[in-house]
Amino acid sequence: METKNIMERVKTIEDAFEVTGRPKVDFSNVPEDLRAYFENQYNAVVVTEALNEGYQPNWDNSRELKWRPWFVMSPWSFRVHDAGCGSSYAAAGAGSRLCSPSEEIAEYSARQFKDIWRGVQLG
Amino acid sequence: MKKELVITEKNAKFFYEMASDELKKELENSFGKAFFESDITDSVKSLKDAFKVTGRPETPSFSDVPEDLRPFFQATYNVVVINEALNEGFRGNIYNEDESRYYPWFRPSGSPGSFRFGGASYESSNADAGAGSRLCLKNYDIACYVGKQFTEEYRKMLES
Repeated sequence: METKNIMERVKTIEDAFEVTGRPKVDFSNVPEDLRAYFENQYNAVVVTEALNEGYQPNWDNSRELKWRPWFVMSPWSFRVHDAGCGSSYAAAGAGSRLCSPSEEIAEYSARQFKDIWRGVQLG
Repeated sequence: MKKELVITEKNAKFFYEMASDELKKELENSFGKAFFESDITDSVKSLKDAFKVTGRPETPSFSDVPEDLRPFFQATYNVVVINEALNEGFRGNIYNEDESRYYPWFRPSGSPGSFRFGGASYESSNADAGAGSRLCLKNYDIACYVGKQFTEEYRKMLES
């Protein structure tokens, strides 16, 4: 029930800022060609934090599945595949800040915030 | 007329590959022939080397970012620069299904001391959450090298 609540409450990046209390950030001290990447990375962190409602992955527990959005990309599209999971390993870009506690949340994040995730991918 | 061209080591290596013989000679005169024959892993052994090779400024303070998130952004910036240096001009095209992009992966076990390199894997048409074109490596050997040589930088990015 709580899972549904958070997805209803966080539908936009503005909602995520409101729920987390995180400020908007100015990345002008980062080299210009990297700014969009870091802005999207920040938004992805804030969205994940809002949807996670305090969850922090426990890397000591290899039985705990850590979920992440997953995409399929081709020359003509960028689409949500579903959510992927890992337990005791961390792939390059999917550390603590981008993991979700459930498949449902990770998949919702992928679909609802596709543009942000695409921005992280394209950088 | 004479004009001065300033070129980073990374770009020099990138253009050298496609340069005419004349331009190759010019570049060799400036950088030395050995520079173009050397393996990138010989010249990028530390974060400092990566800044030097790419010409990127050192880690920004990210002072506008909330304090608890700064280590994550600083670490991510460092990894982006390290990968940029090691990729020597290669930029993963995530829309190209024929191109494999390599990533290191790790085994975090809850404490910094037990965080270790696990291996490297590749993707072509799939993209895992944060592992976009800025974090991929051009081949398996480089992905393994970065995972072993820069484990600490990756640990900070993945755990903080």
